[in-house]
Amino acid sequence: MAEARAASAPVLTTHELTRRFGGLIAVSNVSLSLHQGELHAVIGPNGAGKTTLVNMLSGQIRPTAGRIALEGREVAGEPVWRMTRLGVGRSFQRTNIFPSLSVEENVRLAAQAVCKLRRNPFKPARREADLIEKAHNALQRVGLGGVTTRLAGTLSHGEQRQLEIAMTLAGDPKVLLLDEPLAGMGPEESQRLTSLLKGLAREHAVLLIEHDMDFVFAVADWMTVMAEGAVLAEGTPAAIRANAVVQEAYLGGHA
Amino acid sequence: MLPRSTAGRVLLGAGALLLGAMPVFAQPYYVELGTYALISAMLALSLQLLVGCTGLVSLGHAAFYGLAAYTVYLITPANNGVSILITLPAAVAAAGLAALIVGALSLRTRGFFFLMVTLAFGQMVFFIFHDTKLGGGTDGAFLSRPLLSILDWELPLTRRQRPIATYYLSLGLLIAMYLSLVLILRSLFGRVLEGIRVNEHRMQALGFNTYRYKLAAFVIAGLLAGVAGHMWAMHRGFVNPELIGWHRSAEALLMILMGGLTTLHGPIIGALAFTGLGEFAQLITERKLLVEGLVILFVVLALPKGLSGIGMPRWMRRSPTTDGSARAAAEARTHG
Ligand SMILES: Nc1ncnc2c1ncn2[C@@H]1O[C@H](COP(=O)(O)OP(=O)(O)O)[C@@H](O)[C@H]1O
Ligand SMILES: [Mg+2]
Repeated sequence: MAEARAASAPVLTTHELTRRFGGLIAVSNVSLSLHQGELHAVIGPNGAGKTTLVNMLSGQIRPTAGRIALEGREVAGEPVWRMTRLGVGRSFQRTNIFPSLSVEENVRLAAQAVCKLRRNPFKPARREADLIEKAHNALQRVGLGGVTTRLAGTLSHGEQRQLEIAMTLAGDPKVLLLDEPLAGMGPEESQRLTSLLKGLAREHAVLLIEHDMDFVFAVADWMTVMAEGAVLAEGTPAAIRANAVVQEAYLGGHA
Repeated sequence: MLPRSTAGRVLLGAGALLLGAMPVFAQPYYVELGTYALISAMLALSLQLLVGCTGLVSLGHAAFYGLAAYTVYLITPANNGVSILITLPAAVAAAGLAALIVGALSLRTRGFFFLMVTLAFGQMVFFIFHDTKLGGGTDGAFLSRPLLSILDWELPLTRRQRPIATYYLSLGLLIAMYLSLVLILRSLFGRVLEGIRVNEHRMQALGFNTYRYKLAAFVIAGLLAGVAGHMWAMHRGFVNPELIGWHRSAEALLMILMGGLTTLHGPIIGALAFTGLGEFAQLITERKLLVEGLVILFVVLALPKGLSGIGMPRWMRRSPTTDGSARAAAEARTHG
């Protein structure tokens, strides 16, 4: 299996990552690696621990045990804002935006958050043309270039999902963690996102959580199957499709 | 937060002019009352940076205001006024330093706990001055008012002109404070505060260390409250622990609530209305607090945007943002 893997060195690796909530082990000894230029899909039934895994990788919650290395640097337990600044960007399963701010402002803030340049914080925000341009580029990429002045809360559900991804992109991530980005999107928007995702996977290390199996098998380079917090299987989409354990435990008669 | 329509700006400018003309025709008593209202407006406005702009409700804000007033008392020798060029920076610095310490600790908590921790800190400062002889104890203490002087030269003012000068100084500082906050809210820093108010978790996920931004806002608010506290000491020539207590902090919150949580001019309007209301209630009844309470209750329940939300017909309230969104929506309809 390993020969099918991208040759590049891993950008992010986890080693026996574990998270308990009281007596419940939500994520149990998960070791995986994300590579530059690879779209790594994590699938598994509801409650398998996928979101919890992403929450640990993005710094939202601390691992109970285990390690996370980003470009060789140990980062487990770093606060979420530092993880983002180190290059781990994520989108949320449940839309998480600033409804009362304009679409542009939502994305501009994302660009502002990670800019390395030292700026005078009291400079008027609308004079920072580079941040605004970055916001517009990200909005263009997800197909929201025409609605930048609208208030984010007035967008349709699908458009808000696109905005969520634009915000993640504007943060210049090296690692992209996408938690069910297609949930609630219409077919046309999904189509656009599919091609966007394929493009993104070339430049980033992408971890994708998605329930739509046709979609996952079409775009993934590598897959990890989780069940009850643990890794059930890992491999190329073809290998996963053929895996008897996965067949039985999760895919049912799908493949 | 900011008035976006031209009509709104014109109204604010007219209000400022009216305040500027007031001492020309008002009796000395009302000039002094006006000064007190302007100082309250500064306190409420400084608190608005936390409450309305960042979403942090503090119940200890008067501590910085009172501490500034006491600083003026503590650095002024008996019977010998000190130049405002010394008292104002000293008072503001003391307030800012206290805000840095209180903020650094209290901002580690959120919501209700933040409210309680700021209350506790405020009461601690209150009892420092209430229970020790540092500033005259419970009774408070008189002080020589700061002088409008540079080096050895003092602005020649008669006894009757002095309160008027204090009025104009307060008005000038209030306007300067308002304009500074307008600039702050438009800045990169101000946009972050707004983001924190709307969705702090998302701001953290975007890569903002929100604690630092909240602390900076807390310190700026403390510095500005210090300006107000200094002007109180200059206005009354007297300090007492009531300046610090939670009661004063709660009053500032009520002014914001009355004037409007969503604008910068709201707290100013709220403070002027609150002071006027207190005066009026005192005239007509012995139950001043009851009347005050009822009126405030009515305003808050009847006007969700506070006093600053009324009086403007719809067409005057139109702002570039809603214009933009309306246009975009129309475009979307024609294209879709
Ligand atoms: N904050 C939390 N507190 C307690 N239990 C949690 C928390 N977050 C997730 N869980 C539990 O952990 C398990 C994994 O959840 P989650 O990671 O959301 O799964 P998935 O995203 O794969 O559907 C579930 O049983 C869920 O109830
Ligand atoms: Mg999930």
